[in-house]
Amino acid sequence: MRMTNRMMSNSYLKNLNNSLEKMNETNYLITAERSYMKLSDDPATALKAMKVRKSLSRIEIYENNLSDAQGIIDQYESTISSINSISKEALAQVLQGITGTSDINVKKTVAKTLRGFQETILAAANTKYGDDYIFGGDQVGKAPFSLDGSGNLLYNGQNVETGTFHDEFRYIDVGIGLDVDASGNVAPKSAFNVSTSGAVLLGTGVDGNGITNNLHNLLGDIAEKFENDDLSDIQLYSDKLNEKASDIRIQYVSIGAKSDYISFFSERLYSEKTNAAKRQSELEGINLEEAIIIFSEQELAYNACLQMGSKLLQPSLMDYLR
Amino acid sequence: MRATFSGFEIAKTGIQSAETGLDVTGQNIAKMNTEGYSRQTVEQSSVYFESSSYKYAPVNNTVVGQGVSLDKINQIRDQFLDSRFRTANSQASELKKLHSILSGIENIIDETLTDGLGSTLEEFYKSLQTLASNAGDIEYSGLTRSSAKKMIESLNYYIEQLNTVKEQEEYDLSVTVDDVNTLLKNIDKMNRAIQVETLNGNPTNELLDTRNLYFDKLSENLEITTISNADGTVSVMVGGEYLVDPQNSTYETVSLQNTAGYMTINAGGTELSITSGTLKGYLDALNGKGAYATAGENNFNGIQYYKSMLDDFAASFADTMNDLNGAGKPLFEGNTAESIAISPEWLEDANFITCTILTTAEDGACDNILRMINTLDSDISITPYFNGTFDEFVKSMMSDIAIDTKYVSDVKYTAAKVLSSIDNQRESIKGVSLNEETVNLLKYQKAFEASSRVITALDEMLDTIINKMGTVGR
Repeated sequence: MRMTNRMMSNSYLKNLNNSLEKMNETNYLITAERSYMKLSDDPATALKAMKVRKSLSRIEIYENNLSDAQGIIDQYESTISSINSISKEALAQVLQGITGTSDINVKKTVAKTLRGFQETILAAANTKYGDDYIFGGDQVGKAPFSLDGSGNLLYNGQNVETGTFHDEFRYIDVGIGLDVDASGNVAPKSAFNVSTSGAVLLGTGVDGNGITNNLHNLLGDIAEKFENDDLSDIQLYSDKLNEKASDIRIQYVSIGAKSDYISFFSERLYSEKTNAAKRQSELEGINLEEAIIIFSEQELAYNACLQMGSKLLQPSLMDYLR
Repeated sequence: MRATFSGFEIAKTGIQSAETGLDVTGQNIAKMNTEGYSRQTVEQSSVYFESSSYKYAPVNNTVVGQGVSLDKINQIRDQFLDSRFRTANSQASELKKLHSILSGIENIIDETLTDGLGSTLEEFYKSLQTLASNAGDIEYSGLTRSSAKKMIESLNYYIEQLNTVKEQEEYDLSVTVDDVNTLLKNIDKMNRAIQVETLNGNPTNELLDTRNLYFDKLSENLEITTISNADGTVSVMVGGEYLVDPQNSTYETVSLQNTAGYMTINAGGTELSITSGTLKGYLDALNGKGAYATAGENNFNGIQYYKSMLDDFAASFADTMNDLNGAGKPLFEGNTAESIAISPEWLEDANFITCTILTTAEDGACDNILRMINTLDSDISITPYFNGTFDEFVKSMMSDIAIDTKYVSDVKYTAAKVLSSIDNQRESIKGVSLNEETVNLLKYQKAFEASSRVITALDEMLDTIINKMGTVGR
């Protein structure tokens, strides 16, 4: 091929520029510690990385939700633990009151203690976690339990003995395939239920003997019997209290299962997160050693190119003639 | 017998040709870096012996030639390479333009280093999740509202940016059209000049160079076909239309037509069919409707495609969320990416977002929020051509632009390589080589010296004859 000076200088300039451009690109990647700077640099990797980013973000959401749930469960546990000890203590007091002395003052003291327990239980059942009343079921904005004018215990505005209560749910999405139908019903196993119904906790309605199922009311009824020194059918009531106490204990114990569930998922999310983060750095990150070696090679090529320039561009036959 | 002074004549032609050769060499060296210049050579031939100019036949056959004749100064060029160069130039320029516009679009949609529609959508999703755990709390519903607002703002921003790119490219296109017109006018001017000079028998090499340069520049903007005419003029055709027609002494002016956002390039009242060149790049990017194109429309994934995608996203998103929030309780208003906004009701009251449809509970129950979350994760027919989640839709948009940009960038690279290789081939023929010219310089200098020496020799011979002959015994 016939070579001309213009060809030489043009292609030299082009090559020099290419070499510089490559150096610039590598320089960008190294300073940003990324394997690509924009989508079109490597669409396949970039889109995979987008997916990983999304799963990382989802994992973060589920972690937050789980830690919210854990907080509620913890609060729930400590509250129910105190109710549990109150019910145990109340049972002991009542048994002592029945079997012990017939001294009216002792009975009065028992009654007073039970009244005190009543208040404590009421306060415990109205416990807040953050701004939420955790025993409010699906309604956490206001205190679930209150007493009406005649001293009847109300749960969300309904008398615990005469009202009708439905199952209450407050689901939190923890990434187990949330499934909600068009009318808002969540498939029970597709999310985590954090609602705790105060009605279920303390009991509702009356049993076959006409004795209340509600712990708070039961304590009140027993206290009244002690106050009136009328212990004729006290056995029925103390049996009932015994039943309630074991019910509370069972509720208390079963919290452990929920906590286990949460910690199981937290661990699973944590390992998913580690994997995703690793994958992200594989996709988006740069192998620094390799990149620096590439950069050095490019630098070498650029320097060589520059050095060649002085020899390449100048000489022609002209330089060797007088 | 030879004529006494015939040797002088021969030597004179030698000197003349050496001088002309030196002039051409000088011209070549002077213009070695001038754009569009093609090297020139002297075409010389021997003056041959012609018996018809003699009255009598020569008595012996030792007649020598009559020196050298300067025929023409030629320009070295390969027309085939010229036309290949122009085709390659059109393609390379089209891809270069397309790549620059696509990079502009990519810059808007790409979320590799910045936050965009995808991340604000994810943020909205996140705020719904937080709201689900804190249903009814005004601060969390406010958070949801502000993240929805952020998402909508990024939609608005995308459209605004796309419009800016569109306006910029439309302006650039109009400038390019002006350039084309200037070139057409200049080509016509050159055609006329060449016609006149050819008729007068004058050299036209420099005019040809300039005209060729105009062709090269024109080929950057659109693919042209050139047809050489006998009188030295060249006609320029684009898609069957004569843009420069020296046979009829006319040339066209091309104009840009905007029919409801659909751009066309017209000449003489008809639409030009443009197959490559920067104009094609502009038209593809500005007219391309991608999947939205109906038969006969441009189906390149251009600016209009992305605008339609964003509009469909906005409309579908607003519809879906409004439906979920309950009849007559719209969270969003507007159904294009430009007009979508938070509804005034929601702006007034953050708790306007419906948390529950199962109970009448005011605080806590979050079934409807979960329903929203669930819907955001479900497949929806967002456009007639896309069924998937909103999040996947944003990704598909990113994948469209990424793959197109990458493809164009790769082909652009190849086209530039091809162009540069053809340019090198062309340069290899028409370019000035300094080595060659230096050799020519020496060659002609030596020839000049030698011819001069011949004259000196002849002169001395004549001196001998005239002054020294017949002086014996004087």
